[in-house]
Amino acid sequence: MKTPAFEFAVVAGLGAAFAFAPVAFGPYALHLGVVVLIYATLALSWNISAAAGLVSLGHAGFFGLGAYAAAISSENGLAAVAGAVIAVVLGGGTAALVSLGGLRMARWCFAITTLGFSEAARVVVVMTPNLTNGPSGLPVAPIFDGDRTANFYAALGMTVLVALVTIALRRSRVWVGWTLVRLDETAASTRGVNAAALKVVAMVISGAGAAGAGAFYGHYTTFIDPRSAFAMEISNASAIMPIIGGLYSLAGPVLGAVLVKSSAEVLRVYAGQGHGLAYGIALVLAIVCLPHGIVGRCRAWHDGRRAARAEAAAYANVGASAGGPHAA
Amino acid sequence: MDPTNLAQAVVNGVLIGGLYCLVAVGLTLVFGVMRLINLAHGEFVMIGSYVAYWLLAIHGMAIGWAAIAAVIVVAGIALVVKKTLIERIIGTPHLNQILLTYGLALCFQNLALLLFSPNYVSVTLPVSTLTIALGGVSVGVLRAVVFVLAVVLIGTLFLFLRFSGTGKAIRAVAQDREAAMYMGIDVERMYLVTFTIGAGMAAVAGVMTSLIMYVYPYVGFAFVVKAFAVVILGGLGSIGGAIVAGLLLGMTESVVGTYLPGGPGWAEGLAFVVLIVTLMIRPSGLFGTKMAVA
Repeated sequence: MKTPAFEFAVVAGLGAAFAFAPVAFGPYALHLGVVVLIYATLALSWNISAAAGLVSLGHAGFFGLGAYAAAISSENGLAAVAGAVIAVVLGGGTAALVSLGGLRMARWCFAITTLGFSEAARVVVVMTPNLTNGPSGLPVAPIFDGDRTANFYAALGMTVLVALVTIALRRSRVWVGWTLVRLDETAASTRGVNAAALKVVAMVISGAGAAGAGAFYGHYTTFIDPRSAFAMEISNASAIMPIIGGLYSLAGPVLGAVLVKSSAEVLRVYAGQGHGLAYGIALVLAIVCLPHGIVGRCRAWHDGRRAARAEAAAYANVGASAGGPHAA
Repeated sequence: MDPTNLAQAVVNGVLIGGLYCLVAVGLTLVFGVMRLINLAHGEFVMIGSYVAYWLLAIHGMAIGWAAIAAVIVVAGIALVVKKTLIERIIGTPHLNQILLTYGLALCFQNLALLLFSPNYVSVTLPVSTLTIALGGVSVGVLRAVVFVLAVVLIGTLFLFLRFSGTGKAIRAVAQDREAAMYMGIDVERMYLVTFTIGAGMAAVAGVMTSLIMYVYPYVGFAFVVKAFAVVILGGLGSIGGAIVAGLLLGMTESVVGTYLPGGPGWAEGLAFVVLIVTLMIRPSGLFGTKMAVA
């Protein structure tokens, strides 16, 4: 499907606003901008696996592994770019394993499995101190000599890259396949859609993106430990931002990241410890009152299975005759 | 492998396993009757443990009263949550339920952070350090009492479900919601009773946690991952399965913690291994039926 013009307008507008931010704002706003961009990358990545019906509650696992890959690479004198490539490959590879393991699971089982996965990944990092320095954490070499403006533009570049990948995917047949698998895997399979391969591909791209965000996070903060790199907040935010913003869209995850992460950061200043309350309330409200997200173009979560089945069959028919269904 | 050591590890594991059973039985009961995946179940443990901590350690209340207060508070919260939120998601896709109850769990965790700080706390009773020796194996008195209490509670639940009128009605709803409705059973009321029983058992587990382990805002999360591993290993909706699997997980964790280098650290990830291996090899669990996970 083509990404609608208004979504482009929203994302381009946000991008432009971000591009000029360093000129207009002070160092704290710039730092906030970098954090929001890292989370926007996460949200866009999460959105890709969600498009295939894979709801993950453990993207912190990929994020943290990416951060550690970057840290260990920089410790061994590798350039940041090489470290990022290693991180992305590690994230994608782990995501492949997770999705292969979860191939036949019911979707809610998969969600709980990913929740456990990020915890298990953290345990592995804590328990292999020879490689990771255990709970004490690792330093990461700064990029651009720690210049904040340069870091900001790098973060912007990373987010734009994932947004471009999303746009390209949405134009491809792969996205059509993901939509079919999401709406009704059984119906899609009977029409000859290779659901297993599609799910693995979605998870690999998603995990790679999250790991890339993690690698950048490591270089930006210049120090990581298991607590910060595998923080529950990362998993939570990854899921909540696209849900609030509007699932399976381009503008939704970006909008969600800007709204949710910036308000959570501001709350952190005032409320301190309990600022995660914003995530909880946002998620409950999103499920109860805002099933279509702010962008509001995606299908409702509440759709009964029968409706989904009928629609998937209808889409599949359109796909067979017209060469490409218009995904919801 | 020293047999006394192994026996000690197994006994420790079984005693903790009783606690897992208490949490998991409530979770599996709620699923079996309401078809609800409740990721906020662990938060009932957390709330119960904080109420107990607050009353026992800060206000010096007697343990019995504190436990009753914890159960009442948690049951009250469960009633409100059931009426305001849970009713909207019964019968919707499980994924939907997971996301809503997960959001609810986040709310409770962060409220606990705001109210109590992230520090680990625990309650010390005069009997906390007492142990008895059984042929080389030393058993903490408090842990033994907690285990016996867990057994008694689960046994009571079992008898209640088996023989009381309400219990039979609950089982009827679990078997076939519509048929139960045609027989004049008030399904909504059975949902409410089931949800409150599950939450109340979690609250008792919370009180026990404050006595024999630590209380912190994320303690419910730690419990819920383990409880899901137990419930899925035992077979969703199967109370007997949850009991066997809960004891099994407690024992395995304890044995791994004793014998593997750096054991207690690795044992933390064990629930996840159990979860993923069960889901990959036998998604219906040890005692579940095929339909349970669909």
